[in-house]
Amino acid sequence: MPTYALRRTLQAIPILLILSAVLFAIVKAAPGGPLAAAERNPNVTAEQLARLRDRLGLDQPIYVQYGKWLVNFALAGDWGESIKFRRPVSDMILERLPATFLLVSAAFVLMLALAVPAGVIAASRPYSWFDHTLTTLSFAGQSVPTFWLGLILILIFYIWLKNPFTGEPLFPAGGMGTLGADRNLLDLLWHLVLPTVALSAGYVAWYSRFLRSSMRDILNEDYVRTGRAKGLSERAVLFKHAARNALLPLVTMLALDLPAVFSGALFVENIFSWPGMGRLFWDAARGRDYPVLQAVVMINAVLIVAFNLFADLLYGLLDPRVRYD
Amino acid sequence: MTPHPRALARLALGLGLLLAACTAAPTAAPATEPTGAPVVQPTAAAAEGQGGAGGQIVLIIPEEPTSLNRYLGDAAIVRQVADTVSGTGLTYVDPAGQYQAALAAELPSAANGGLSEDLKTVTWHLKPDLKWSDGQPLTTADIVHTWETIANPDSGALAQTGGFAEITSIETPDDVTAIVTYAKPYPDYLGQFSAGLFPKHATGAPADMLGWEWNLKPVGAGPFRVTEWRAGESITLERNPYYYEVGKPSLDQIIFSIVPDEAAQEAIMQQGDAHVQLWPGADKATYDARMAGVASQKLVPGVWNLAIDFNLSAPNDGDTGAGTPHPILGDIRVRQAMAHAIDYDVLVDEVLGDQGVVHSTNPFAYGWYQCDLPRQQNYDVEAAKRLLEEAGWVEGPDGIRVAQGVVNAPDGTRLTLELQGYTNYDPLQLTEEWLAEQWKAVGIEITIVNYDFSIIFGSLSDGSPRKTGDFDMLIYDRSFTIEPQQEVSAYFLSTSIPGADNPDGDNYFRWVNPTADSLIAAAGGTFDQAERKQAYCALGEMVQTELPQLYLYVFQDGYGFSSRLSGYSVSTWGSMTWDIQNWQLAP
Repeated sequence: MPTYALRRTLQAIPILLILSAVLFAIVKAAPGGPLAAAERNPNVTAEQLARLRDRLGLDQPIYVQYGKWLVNFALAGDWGESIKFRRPVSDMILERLPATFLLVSAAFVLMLALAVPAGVIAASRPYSWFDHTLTTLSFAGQSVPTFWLGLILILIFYIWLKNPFTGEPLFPAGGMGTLGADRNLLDLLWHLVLPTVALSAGYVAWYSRFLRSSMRDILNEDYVRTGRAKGLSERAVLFKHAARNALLPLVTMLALDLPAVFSGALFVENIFSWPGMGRLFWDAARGRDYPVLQAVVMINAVLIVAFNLFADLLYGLLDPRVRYD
Repeated sequence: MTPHPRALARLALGLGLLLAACTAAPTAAPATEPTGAPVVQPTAAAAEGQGGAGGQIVLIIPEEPTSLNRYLGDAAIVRQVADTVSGTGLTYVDPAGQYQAALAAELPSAANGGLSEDLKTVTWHLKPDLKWSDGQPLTTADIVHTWETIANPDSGALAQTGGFAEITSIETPDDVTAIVTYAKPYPDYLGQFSAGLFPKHATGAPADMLGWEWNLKPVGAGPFRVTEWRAGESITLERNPYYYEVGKPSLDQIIFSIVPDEAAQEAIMQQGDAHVQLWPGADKATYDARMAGVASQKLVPGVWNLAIDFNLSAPNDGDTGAGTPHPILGDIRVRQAMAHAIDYDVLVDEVLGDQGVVHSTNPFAYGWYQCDLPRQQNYDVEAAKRLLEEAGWVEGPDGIRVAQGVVNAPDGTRLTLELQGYTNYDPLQLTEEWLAEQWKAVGIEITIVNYDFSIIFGSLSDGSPRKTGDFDMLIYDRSFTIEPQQEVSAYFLSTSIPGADNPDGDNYFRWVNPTADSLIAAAGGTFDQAERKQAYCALGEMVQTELPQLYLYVFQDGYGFSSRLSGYSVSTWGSMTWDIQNWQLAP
């Protein structure tokens, strides 16, 4: 397996190289540029603009710009400086990462806590009222757009429902902490609730359905029948024997979804004013802040490649039937 | 190994640790601490104020400002925040469009000896005992530093740069006197230092301005100073105890909260958790109804005018200049007919009823140079048709007119024109479609072509149609600044037609008119406001008659204000926070 892992890692290098060049070209090919507003301003002379372009290296041929970016990125780990904020891109990303990491991990934890039991129970009692309810809810969860759900949560828990003791809204409408107050863990958790629920809803729906069908397949396996025949409790059959196997494909899915922990969740971050990576990406895309954009996109590319590999390796660890040659 | 409930428990535990780490980690750069300097307690200073109740307000902005240095760029969002910290300079513009003294003791003028006879030397006096927000003295050395920075071509300054390059020297006989000498008279000398000053002791070398730490943590002369900036989330400011107006500001703390989603913004305003909302999306009636008394929207006409540029010269003839007349639009009667064919009332009140625009067909619609210029071509379909007939455009079989004895076009030419705008801007698209309908009713066929913003406003080397002259009509929003001479010259001088020799020219209409040229020269040849206004108004009237441009309406700026706030006013020339030192919060 180490050979396999090494081979896959080496294969990833040309993929990422090609990817970085294509992304660089696409980002630069988008109309407009970081200086679009200044270009439109009649009080800014062409000479001023030319100087600034020269300073930012925007007037060089694209392959030169890419070459410089690649050398800095690959050799020095330097992601450059944001054109808009004139700050190191790495600083900006590090500021945003904790927020995104917190939100997306919380959503995954909530998702696992709800989707695994729900899927297992639904599969064990197919076509029961529980199963039907879960089916309905999960279809709703998959169909409802996140931004709509987010607004509805704000409407219910921020505008309608009040804390009976303080008269304050039950949950805040956004942000990571109460404005003007000192930050503490409780305040942070209080702010985390609504965005986590909004973000996990879609995941819960998807994963519970997935687990249900995976469980249904497993429950027809011989070893499940054997377990029942030798008098194991239904609980042991379900959770000890069936669920553990049903979770296998779920691990792959989860590994492929995990890069979101770093890339963020744009819609939820927007609705709940959550200062995460999704918004950093969005703002950079709108402002054509090339260095930030390229860095965020590349981090995602690396993560997706890495987690793909991770999922494949993990699968081998979890399932002894899988062999790497 | 398979996932085990215990593994999940470990994951949850790890998350808990992470939570703790997140709260402990500093999220953003720490605030400007007046290190070493004696700190006047804000509360003590507030006590000696004018009886303001103090308090804390939250201002909602949709995106994060990229800096608090107004010279770095023109983004409106920067100004909203910078005006509370670093945007206080020698003067400011009042809602009537007149300069008033801020840090300056008075406005230099010929009458008080502040302006030399040859108009080239301006003497500024600072108010006595001014201090920066860190308690250091604010002197004329800071004025010199500001000039040296902005005039330095390597500084990267892109906004408010007018006039700095023309200053030849600044003498500072003492800490409160600065004698500014220009190479040639500069009409906007009063606005020279109106966007804020740079403190010499707290910034850096002029050539490094792009990288100054000051840009995000400014020591300023404004009513507030930054205490905390949480990236992507909020910017907190406290009362600047050294602010020059005694007893102001009334508020103790202001927090800019970055809330991108419009519905969330409204929810927060409606609950009273925020007190000011920048640019609400809903129109005033809808907004006020939703806020149910908690807040209401205040509107003020902005500086953005929607207008059509007619190309008076032939497009696609390889000539960027005014050589050959446009086959259709080269005839003034066609342009007049098109102006007559528009029902301006329906356009503003119905088509754009909820887009926050106001009636205005006046090229000089605001500022000290605001002219009283009634519309010359009122909605009159018959007049439009008559003019087109006179010009030789007769109705064809499908209702669209064709040429028959037209001056610049061979017989049989179809009366069809292209209207070019930019994409993704609702008011613009609604207007284009409405105009196409209105013109079709008098027999003019319109093709609407919308480009990306960057193409329509591109440069000559990019092949932007307005620079190359390869278009029939353009439609977009444009504005004049408080000192319009440079923009007026760029638009209307016959020497400003863009081309290889003059890529920066903005006379897209290819309008050549010696009288206009002399009026612009007259406006630029004096500092006398009344005289200048007269020249601009005469020019405006000519534009309305000859129609190189047709003005349609003016956009308004809207701000949501909590009903607990008072003392504020909205200004065409200011950001929403331009007078925040006067705001008061009722309990």
